[in-house]
Amino acid sequence: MSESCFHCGDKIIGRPIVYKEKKFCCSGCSTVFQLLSENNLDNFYAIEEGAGVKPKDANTHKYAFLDVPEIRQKYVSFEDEKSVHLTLFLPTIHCSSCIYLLENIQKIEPNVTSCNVNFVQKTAAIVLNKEASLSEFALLLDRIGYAPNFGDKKALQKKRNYQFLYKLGVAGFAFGSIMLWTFPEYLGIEEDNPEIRTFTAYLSLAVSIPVLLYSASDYLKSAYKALRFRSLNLDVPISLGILALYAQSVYTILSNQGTGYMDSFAGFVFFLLIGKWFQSKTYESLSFERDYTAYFPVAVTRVKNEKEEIVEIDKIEIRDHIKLRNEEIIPCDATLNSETVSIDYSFVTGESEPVRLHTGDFIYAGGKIVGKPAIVKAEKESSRSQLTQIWNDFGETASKEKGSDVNHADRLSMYFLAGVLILAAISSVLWFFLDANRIVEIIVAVLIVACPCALALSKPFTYGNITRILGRKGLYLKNVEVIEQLNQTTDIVFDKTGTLTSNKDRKVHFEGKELSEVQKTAIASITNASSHPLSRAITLHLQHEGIHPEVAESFEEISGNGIIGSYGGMEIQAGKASYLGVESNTNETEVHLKINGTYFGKFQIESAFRSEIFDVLKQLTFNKEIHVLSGDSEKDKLRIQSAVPTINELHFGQSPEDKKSYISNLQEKGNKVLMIGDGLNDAGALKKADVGVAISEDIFRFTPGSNAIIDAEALKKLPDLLSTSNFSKTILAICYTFSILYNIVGLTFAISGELTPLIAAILMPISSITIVFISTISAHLKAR
Amino acid sequence: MCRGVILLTANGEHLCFMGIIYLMLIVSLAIALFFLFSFFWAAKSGQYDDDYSPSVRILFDDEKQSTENQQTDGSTEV
Repeated sequence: MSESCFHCGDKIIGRPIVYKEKKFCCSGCSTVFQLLSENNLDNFYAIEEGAGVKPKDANTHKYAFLDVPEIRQKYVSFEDEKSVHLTLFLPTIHCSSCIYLLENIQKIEPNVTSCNVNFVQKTAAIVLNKEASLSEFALLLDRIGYAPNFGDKKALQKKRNYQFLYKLGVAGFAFGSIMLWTFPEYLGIEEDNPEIRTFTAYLSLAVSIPVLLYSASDYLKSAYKALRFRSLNLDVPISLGILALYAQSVYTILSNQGTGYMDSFAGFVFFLLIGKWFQSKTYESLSFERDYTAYFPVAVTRVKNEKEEIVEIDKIEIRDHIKLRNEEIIPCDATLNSETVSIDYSFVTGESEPVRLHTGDFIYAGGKIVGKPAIVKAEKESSRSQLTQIWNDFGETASKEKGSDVNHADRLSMYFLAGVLILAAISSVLWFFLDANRIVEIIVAVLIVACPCALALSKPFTYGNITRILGRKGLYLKNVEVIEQLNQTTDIVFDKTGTLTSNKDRKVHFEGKELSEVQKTAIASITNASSHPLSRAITLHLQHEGIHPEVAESFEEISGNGIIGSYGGMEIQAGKASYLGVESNTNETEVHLKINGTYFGKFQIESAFRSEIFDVLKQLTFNKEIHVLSGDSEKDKLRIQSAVPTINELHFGQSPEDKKSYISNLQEKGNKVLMIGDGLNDAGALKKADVGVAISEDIFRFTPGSNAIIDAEALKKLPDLLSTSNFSKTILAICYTFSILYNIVGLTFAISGELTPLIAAILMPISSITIVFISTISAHLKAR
Repeated sequence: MCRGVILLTANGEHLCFMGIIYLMLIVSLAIALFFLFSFFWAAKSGQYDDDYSPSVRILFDDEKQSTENQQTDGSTEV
């Protein structure tokens, strides 16, 4: 039973599809395999196992808009008589096999001249022959699992900011050169060759100017801005240190006393920039934010005077008739013109069962058509920005986080600055009595040594490393600040449906007439032919009873209603109560069954609790308050209570609004709340919580309104994930201790008037490097 | 105590030539600048954009080349 699909590596549920002795979980996967093996791309599977992406059904019109000249032109970057150049954003690129497949795609589609994957940005730069159809090419990519994302042009247009790398380069160059030139001075060789010393000093001065004006400019500007608005940030003490270091060195050079601290100065800026570079690397790898607009349509089919035409969605006007096909998103509020239609609002409401609507019903934008195509009449103008708005209502979390973080950094830099100034004052008083001529020199030395370089490196490295480790374990944070909030969590609120329970492993229970072995086989054979989740659940249930599904003799799926098919002389009909013409008034998910026209009963389908979930809850109750909220009736209350008696807060029958206010009640008591819920259903509550974690069976899927996404599989590792995140506190404490130790050592030298350029040049890089090592190594040790 | 290059003149005297040190300082600066500008060029040409795919790509380059060869072979036959 635990076989995994040869293509996508998922566990095979039900009967595998066998092709060329390989087993697949669905026909989509086996089709991709077939396509690849026919085109000699078998290597795809040799590079990484189960690397494929399960393709979703795409209707053939999905990319038709690419053939409309004015839309096409938006995506093509260059075009001449022979070829078309374009860059596509393919969010599902995730491993080396992907690169192999995409860069060899000309084996499948000979019209491709070249394809170059940028793994970090998840884009492919493609050159096609002029005669190739863009829509067909996009469809091919979609069919093999790499659905191009035409929504977010930002990702494609984002020009890399090379300025930063240049700054880093300049600082590194100056650091290396100056250190080389200063080396003889460290050894005291140049003492008796003053001309050479002067020469190297001026050379260092020349090289250091771009470091101050260019490489360090961001820090100086940020500090200046902060001071102008009468606030403080960590850049203020940093800039103070940089300037003191620089001024002192320039003075030393101009007064012909040596090279000063120029090497330390350049090295200092260099290490600071390295820290920043690491931080930006981390942000780059947290890419889920931009997958956001992937689901927005670019264009829709408008029906005008009996003719269909493809138009950009911004051009839709009120009372336009729009034709929407399977899986297409409704671009604007509209009324339905077709007879009946099923609409999947799961992106908006989280409800997994499609809603059925009839002629004249009002349809809200954001839903997805399921099954038969439908004609709708636009009631509002449509625009991408409006659609973004609907989804953004769930997603506005950025401002909430910012506030607290800024305050935190402010306070730290305030203490720091105060400490430095006090120390400078004390040492100046001290030296007033010892040797008044050296006061300026001593104050400068204190400022130089106290510059919080190591401190500034601690956070980006520690949080960056922890974020990556969590990502590898299945918890994807939106940004690194989430760690800080995660660590403050006192209460964890779980949603029940879809979080504690899984929509994948459902419990099936048959109620009705006794079924014979032969009848069960017939039912299983029919349900096995369908890819509907409920059919799959029933197949699996029957397989557990020892039934082997056979190949159905006939089979038809009536979209949104049920299935009909025959096997062994029996006609099996299964589906909704209304489809079979029977009465039903429960709210539970059920599939009714008719054999040869006689009603036999119904399958009740319940979602089951995730494996090990109770152990996870038990572990969590040791140091956190656990709450479980559910929109369902109380039927699972006893089950949870008996499994985990330590949970006191179990609330059932909660509406999304109730959940939200429940969380704000907790917050009013001063508790920090971590909410784990199922995507959009709990969007309000997720947004309200200090940290909202959306659970996802498919991490490529978009989930708005949360600070993090957790892979459903990783939920059982939650205690471990939390402790990993919490470990960042320990690492930071160690880093801070070390950097303060270095500062104390440095200050001792500074106050005693012994801070020679040589000591500064040794102390400064060592402190920075230790911090980087400590945070990286300890984070990875913890991750083992 | 000569720290430069000791030159032996025709009449057997030793001369200390300090200029060489200045020359070498300038040369070292020039070399460093050369590498700095190579780095600029590399960054600008996008070499640091994607540090993952090239490491993978090198593993399947051969095969890719062979298909390209086939294609060019095919076209010359026509």
